[in-house]
Amino acid sequence: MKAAKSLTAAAVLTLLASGSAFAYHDGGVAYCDGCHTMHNSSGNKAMGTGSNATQLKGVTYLLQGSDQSSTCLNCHATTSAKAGSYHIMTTDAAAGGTVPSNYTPGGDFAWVKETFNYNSHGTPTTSLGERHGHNVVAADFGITPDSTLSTAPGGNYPAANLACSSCHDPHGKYRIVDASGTVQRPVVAGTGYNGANDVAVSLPINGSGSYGAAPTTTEAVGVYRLLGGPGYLPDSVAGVAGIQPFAALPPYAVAPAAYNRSEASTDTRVAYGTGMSEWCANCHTNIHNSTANYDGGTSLIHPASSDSTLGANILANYNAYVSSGNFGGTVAGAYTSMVPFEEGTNNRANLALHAVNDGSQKGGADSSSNVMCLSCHRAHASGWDSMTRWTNKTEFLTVAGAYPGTDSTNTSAQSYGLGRTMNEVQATFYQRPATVYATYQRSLCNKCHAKD
Amino acid sequence: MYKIYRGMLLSLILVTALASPAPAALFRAAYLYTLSDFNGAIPYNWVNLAVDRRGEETYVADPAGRSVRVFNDSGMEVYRFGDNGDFRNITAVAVADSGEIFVLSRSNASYAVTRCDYRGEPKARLAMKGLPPEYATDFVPDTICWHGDHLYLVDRNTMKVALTDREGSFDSGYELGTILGFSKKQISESGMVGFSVDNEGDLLFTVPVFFSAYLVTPGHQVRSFGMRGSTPGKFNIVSGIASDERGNIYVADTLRCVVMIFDRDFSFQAEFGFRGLEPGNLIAPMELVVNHDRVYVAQSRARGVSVYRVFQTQPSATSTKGG
Repeated sequence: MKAAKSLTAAAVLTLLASGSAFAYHDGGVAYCDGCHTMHNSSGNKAMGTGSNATQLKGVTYLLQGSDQSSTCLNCHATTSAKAGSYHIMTTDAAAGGTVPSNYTPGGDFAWVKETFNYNSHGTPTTSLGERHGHNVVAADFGITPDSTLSTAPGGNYPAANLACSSCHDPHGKYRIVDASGTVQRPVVAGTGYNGANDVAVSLPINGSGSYGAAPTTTEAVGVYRLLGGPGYLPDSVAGVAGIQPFAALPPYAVAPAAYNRSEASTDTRVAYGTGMSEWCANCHTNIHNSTANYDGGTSLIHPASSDSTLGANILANYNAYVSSGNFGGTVAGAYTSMVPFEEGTNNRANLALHAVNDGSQKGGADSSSNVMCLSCHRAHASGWDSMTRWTNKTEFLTVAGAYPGTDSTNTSAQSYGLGRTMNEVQATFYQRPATVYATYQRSLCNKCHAKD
Repeated sequence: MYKIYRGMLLSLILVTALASPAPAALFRAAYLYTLSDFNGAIPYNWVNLAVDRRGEETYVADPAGRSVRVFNDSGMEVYRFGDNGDFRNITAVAVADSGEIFVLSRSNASYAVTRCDYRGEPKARLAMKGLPPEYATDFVPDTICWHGDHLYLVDRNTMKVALTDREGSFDSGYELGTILGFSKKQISESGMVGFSVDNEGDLLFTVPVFFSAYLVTPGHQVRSFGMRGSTPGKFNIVSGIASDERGNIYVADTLRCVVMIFDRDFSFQAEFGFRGLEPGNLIAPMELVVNHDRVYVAQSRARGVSVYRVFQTQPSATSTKGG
């Protein structure tokens, strides 16, 4: 045990030199008893003794939480109504006290517990919380399986088995081993799932790969956000019908170090490189592809893939579009994190240059840029149905220069909030002032399609 | 660790620390009840708590009901106020020695503190006066408490604490991140979770990402304790922290689902709760407050606020240090 410390500020500096907030995962597997318990039974009941005793069980997989996602949220959820770096769920919001106020690029899971009721042209309508994001099952936090979509849209992954660990590999086995972004996963012979990237020997991980750090000749970095890669199949779902090992590599992307923040003044720009849509297709296999109707395809579905470059017209639209009726923008200031794109590269050094939160990188798209799932959706949750970044169920996102809401003093604007308050609507825009948009702003689909 | 659990109400938990040498059984914790109204236990999640030691009452800031609910020493709701919309988004509540009640509300990046009389009738919206620049911007309190003659406004994300009088006039402040020597980056990446003020006016708080609990005196002297681990007395994800009149310190561990008891020298004494679904167990404990021998623990999973009675059977003998 550590003795009590009586410290001056200088001594504290020494103490802190050995740790940081990122030390918990550091790009790979954390320390074991951060998530698992080895010696405690459920309720701390004494183990039976004697030859006929029944040994009491601990929690499944010896987790410290009631389930996988609860274990994660014990740390990553917060009551605090203010963005903080590693928090991805505002618990008080779920109780109706505050708006979800964590502004990570992936979104605040509190939205999946926020149900809104409104009248749509006289018809009582409900925007169920479960429609707002990935319903990662977390018993300790009241997140239950999606009751409507029993499997992943476009795939077979069962809603009942969805957890944080469905996407994020809690053991952080995947690593980037060279400057070209090669991903490897070392496994003991005979224990893997024959993923193409399984190797017997690889470099050790020395830190996170989410923020642009480069591997060296002797040390690897983790992959973006500990996402699972080829062959990833958690033991908890091995053998479950509809769940197959991942086939796609983790996406190439770099986030700024401070990413959970209001975007009232500047955007939080995650530099997405390539592979995001392909990675989403591990579970949402058939929901989008690159064979879209615009280039002769017959699927009549929106493109989303590394092959789906924007094309001359869309590219011009993106870089010129400012807001409804204003197409006077330039490529130098065209970027918005409300409609991000992939840069079409796995060059992490170049991506790192663009991953900022100070507004210094507002450059728009180029001929390499492509549309991806996250161009329209948030990865965790949003305030709108289908976890889209903005609502597509109203004509206007702003009304008379303000965000609409049930509490709007402009009675004609109230219905456009779809049951949300003005604060809640503004939170879905990550606190951007309504004045960045037109007085009557239409769907942000128009950032690419410029139909307004 | 050896524990006898007899289930249900007034179950007695005999706690001894698993350490070498093993201390005598100094503490016993008995689960009493869960805060309730006439419909039964109230399924709160991670609510903010305060106590009025004079009136033996417990206050819960209820964000769902946008109200403050008051419970007697039997854990039954006896009063509520604010459900008429007086406070909007309630975040925290504090009770002054005079009986005045302070309610903190937040909306986006703004906050308001309302002073109420003992009946919960709003008397004044505090106009914060004399705030220095570092407390005028980038300072949005998310919890409050009262000690002595001061209201403590706490922004756990920026690790700043402002002390005001009952009218909202600034008196002094603590920039705890600076006091601890944290860089701006470390403050933004960590922040504190548990916070309280002990009888001597020392600030007690936890920083889970550093697996540590801290005590900062009014003179800015710093002491800390805690060791990462999952065995008794060690810290996984620590959260609420509070002290009793004897100086014992109670620390909740959200991940291990226990409340740990340390003496005034930070020597680990015992722990209670434990993950499980029995009434006396805990699921993801977060905030806690202590009122005499009662410990109130807010949990997740709609398990509400569990109340324990802690007995200290003999003077503490030093055992294992600091978690």
